[in-house]
Amino acid sequence: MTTMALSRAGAEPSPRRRFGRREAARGRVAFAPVSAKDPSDEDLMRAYVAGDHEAFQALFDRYAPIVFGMTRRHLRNEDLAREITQQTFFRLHAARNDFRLDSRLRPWLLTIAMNLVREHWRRGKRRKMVELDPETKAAPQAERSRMELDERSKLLHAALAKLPESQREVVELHWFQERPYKEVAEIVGSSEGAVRVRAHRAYRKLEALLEGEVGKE
Amino acid sequence: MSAASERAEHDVDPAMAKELERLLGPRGSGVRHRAVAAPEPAGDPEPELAQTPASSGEYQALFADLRREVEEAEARPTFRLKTRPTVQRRLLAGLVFLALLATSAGLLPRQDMAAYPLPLLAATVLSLGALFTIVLLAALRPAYLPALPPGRSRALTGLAVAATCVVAVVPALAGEGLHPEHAGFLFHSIPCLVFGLLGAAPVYAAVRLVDRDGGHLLGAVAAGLAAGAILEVHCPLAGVAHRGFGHVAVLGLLLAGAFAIDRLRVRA
Repeated sequence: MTTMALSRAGAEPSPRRRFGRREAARGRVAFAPVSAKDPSDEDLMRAYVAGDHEAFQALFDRYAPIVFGMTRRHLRNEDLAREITQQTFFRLHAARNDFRLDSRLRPWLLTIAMNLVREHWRRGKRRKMVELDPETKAAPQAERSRMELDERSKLLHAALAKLPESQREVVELHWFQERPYKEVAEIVGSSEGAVRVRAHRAYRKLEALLEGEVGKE
Repeated sequence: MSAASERAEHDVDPAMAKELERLLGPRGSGVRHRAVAAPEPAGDPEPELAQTPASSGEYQALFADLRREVEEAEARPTFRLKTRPTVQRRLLAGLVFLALLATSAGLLPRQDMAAYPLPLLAATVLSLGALFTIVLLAALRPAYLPALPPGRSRALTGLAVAATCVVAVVPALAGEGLHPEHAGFLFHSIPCLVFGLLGAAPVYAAVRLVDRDGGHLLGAVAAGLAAGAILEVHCPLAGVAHRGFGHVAVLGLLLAGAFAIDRLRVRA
């Protein structure tokens, strides 16, 4: 049995292990050595699928903060966001053999994370009203006081909470994660046109919700 | 500004983008780390990364937990099945169904097989088989696809129930099949119910074995449809009451079980 145990801290790097050799020998994977300087996400993923476990840690280091930030914004609960971040990578591990070698990793990983967030909502767990630290807020706010930042954060989250889930996830991916509409459509499983409409409606609604409050400042 | 950021900016009307930036903060403020393929320019040291409340130590702890979880999972023999490519997972579940169907047709065929119209039998079995395939494709989705919306799951479930009910009345409407003249319908129904559940169990087990997401409902629907097809090649009785209690009830019981499991999981 092939054991896909992850690399242990301090273990010697082994760019190609048993699984990788076998898969590479079958010609199913184009092995990409992770030792290359600044490998792309896809190179890392290809290496990981081929059996290089250090690549998994590299992917985790690269993407855990992004997944954590995204899920925390959705769930407003750091513990839950940690759990979902962990689960996202666990599912990535379980589904690694599904990774298409010509596809990009980022939308793939964010889709898994978004699926877990949706699953959480569907299970009826309700969002806990946990205040975020001012550091998590969006604006360049060096000049603002902590109190202002707190207030702004509350307003922003209250406004986002009023959006339907389908619109909120589009705003999260398009505005906060800076993903183009095409990729957002891929992640949420809709057409680009439909996503544009959702985003437009969401932004209009956010404008209307926030205008009265923030606009007064 | 990264290339991705520049590209994405064109997605938003500039006037609106300016207004949104005032209200929501700058675009891309949720991005704490970029792919190496699109590095930040020098002098932009990803300020949010440094500020994020989850420190690098916490991420290391998170990864250590993840590593432990993966190692525990890898120790379970069934986990290897779940990690197989989706095509193989689907094939495995489909093959279990086909094997059971062939076994039922070969070893325990309906008594009136010679007299029963073959096109009618083929049409009912193929209809249930096609629906089984659709449900299986939905139940075992690859990770890169968004989760199936709950509405679509419910629609597939409704379709499966409707199809099973239609199949149950077809022989009676067509005037085919056998009509028992002795004893009550329960006497005939219970063996079919048990046979159907025995046929559904391996299919359900196969779907659950290769399923990564823990979706019970569609697994139960697939197993119920498989049981319907297996019963179709095994049971010659055409009575609507018999088919209701002996055939359709298999899917009903499986659905009730799946709902109960889901409830328990939510409570847990």
